[in-house]
Amino acid sequence: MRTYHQGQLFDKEVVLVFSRWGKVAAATTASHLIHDFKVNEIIFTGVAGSVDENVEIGDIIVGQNLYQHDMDASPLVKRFEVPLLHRSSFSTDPDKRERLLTACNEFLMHYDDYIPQKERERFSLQKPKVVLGDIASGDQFISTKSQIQFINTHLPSAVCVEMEGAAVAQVCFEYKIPFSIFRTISDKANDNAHIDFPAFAKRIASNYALGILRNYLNV
Amino acid sequence: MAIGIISAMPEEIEALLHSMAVTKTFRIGYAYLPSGTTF
Repeated sequence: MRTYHQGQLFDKEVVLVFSRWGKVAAATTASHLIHDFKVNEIIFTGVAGSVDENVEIGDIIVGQNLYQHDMDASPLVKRFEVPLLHRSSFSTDPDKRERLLTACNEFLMHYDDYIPQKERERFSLQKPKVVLGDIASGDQFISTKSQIQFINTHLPSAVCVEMEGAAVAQVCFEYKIPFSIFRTISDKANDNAHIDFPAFAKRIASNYALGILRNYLNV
Repeated sequence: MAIGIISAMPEEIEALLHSMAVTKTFRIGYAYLPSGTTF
């Protein structure tokens, strides 16, 4: 069961919903939004693991192209290509992406208003930055060096990994719904990644989502 | 027409709901999450 909250957020009509986890769950959620609520745009938020050594915990990724790193229907089609759609990635809407980048940069300008110093120290957040980059999604929790190496080798433009984004991007592509996504980096997706994840989600990622969406919707 | 906002984190949903004026809530589907899960 999914709970869809309809109403106003920062003076804009929105429908807010938890994706649930994994590609199928998130795609189903997106389909409901399109079919049952007739949304004219979808924005996706959440956390992700960095697979780029220059992308740190606390950085914000604004997605450009989204790949399914576990898609492999070879030899029918080449690895990562989505059957029948003849493409390996789905792009976010250029205009929404630009607006999202602006919203993220504005958020960082007022970072202290959202993330207290105590929390920054707790999670060793240095100088968070906004990164425009590609996202790799898959139904796997990426945590080993070999998994990261696989993604770095085969999808070198991917800067972070998560489990839903590319699925929602595909649904939006098929229905011609403008799609954008930002993700807060919660870990480095490697063997050494140990953070208090529930605390990070509640104290850091939640405030990122709130601050960035406020800027995005207030335009 | 509304903007669809999806979050992969229940904690984000909770934080956003504090700032949202909810007019209607819809529950879709029949498979329930384990008891105690509210999203």
